[in-house]
Amino acid sequence: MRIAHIFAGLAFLVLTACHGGRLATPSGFATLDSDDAYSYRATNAQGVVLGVRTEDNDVKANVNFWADALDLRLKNQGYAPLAQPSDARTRGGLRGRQMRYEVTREGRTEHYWLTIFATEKKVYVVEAAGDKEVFDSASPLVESAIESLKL
Amino acid sequence: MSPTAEAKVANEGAPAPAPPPPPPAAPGAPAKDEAPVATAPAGAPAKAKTPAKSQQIIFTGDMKMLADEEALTKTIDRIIDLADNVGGHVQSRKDNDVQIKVPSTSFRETMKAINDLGGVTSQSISAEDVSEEMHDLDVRLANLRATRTRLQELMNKAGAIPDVLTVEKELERVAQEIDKIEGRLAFLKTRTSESTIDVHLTAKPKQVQQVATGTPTPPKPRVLDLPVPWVGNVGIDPLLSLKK
Repeated sequence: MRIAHIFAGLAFLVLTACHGGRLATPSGFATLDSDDAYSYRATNAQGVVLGVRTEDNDVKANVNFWADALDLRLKNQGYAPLAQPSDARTRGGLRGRQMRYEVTREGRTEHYWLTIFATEKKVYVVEAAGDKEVFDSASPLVESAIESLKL
Repeated sequence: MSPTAEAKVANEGAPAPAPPPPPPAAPGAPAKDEAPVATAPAGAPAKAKTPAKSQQIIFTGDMKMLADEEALTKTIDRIIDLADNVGGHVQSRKDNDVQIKVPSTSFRETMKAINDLGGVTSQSISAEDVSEEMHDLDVRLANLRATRTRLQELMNKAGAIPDVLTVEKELERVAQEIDKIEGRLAFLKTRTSESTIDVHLTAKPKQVQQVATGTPTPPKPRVLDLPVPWVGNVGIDPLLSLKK
């Protein structure tokens, strides 16, 4: 009995350590193993990739701070905004900010969406990207997947 | 060689100065066979009457220009066109340097037109006054022609062969001297009637191009250097890189 409690405790610790934002994988997408950078990642066959970063909110900033900081950095790197940042919301009711960009490199035009959610302790960065044409056709699935974020 | 006066205006690294005042009209030196002492008695030194002195100046311009690298050839072509338009011509062209000759009466106008092309970083103008030398040559030429006339008269009167030979020898020497002076005068007349402009073009460095256009690119907004390393990793490349 005591050993069972110890195992249960260890299992809880492991689950807690792996905790991170995840999405409901859309149809036609394959889920990849999480790694140090992403708590969730999935891709479809055409190379549209979804990813979630789960980071500690060490500086205790709200979602607007993180959205502005990332937006500024990406624009400095040449990401062209496709629209003004807009509000986003998960099905669980968490509010966030979404930015959409276009990047052209070596003749390829890519679309990149960045949706930020923040709690007091964590920052969730939901990323989605792919070649413009295939991304646009997959965008309804991407939007739905973002709304499915589970913390 | 008579003394010459030389004026030089240089302006390095500053806005180009205004071109100089226009040079005087075409040389007023007498033509080859136009003796300025026509009234002098044959054989007499022709110092009594000298031609009216007018300024004979050789103008030379030197300009340094900056141009966009892709516009270097076009700028050189425009400079050559400017010379053609005033009756001048290209004298030489090598790499990004071009030398043009223009009528002296159009020297100032051409310098200004090149200035108006933009990108002139420095220019210098030298004006060599050869009036005195040309005047001296004119006087010497008139004297020699008078001497030649007198010698010809003497030869007509000479009876003995030794006398004829002596006069003939002297005539030959005078003729050579006349040719020499006429050649020098012709050279100076050409130099004073045509001005030389050397233009050296250099490709603009990129940062200078921004200054020259007058619309420098505003600096990018400052990006916070947050003590949060992951912020710097957000972007398409890490996301699309699926290999571990």
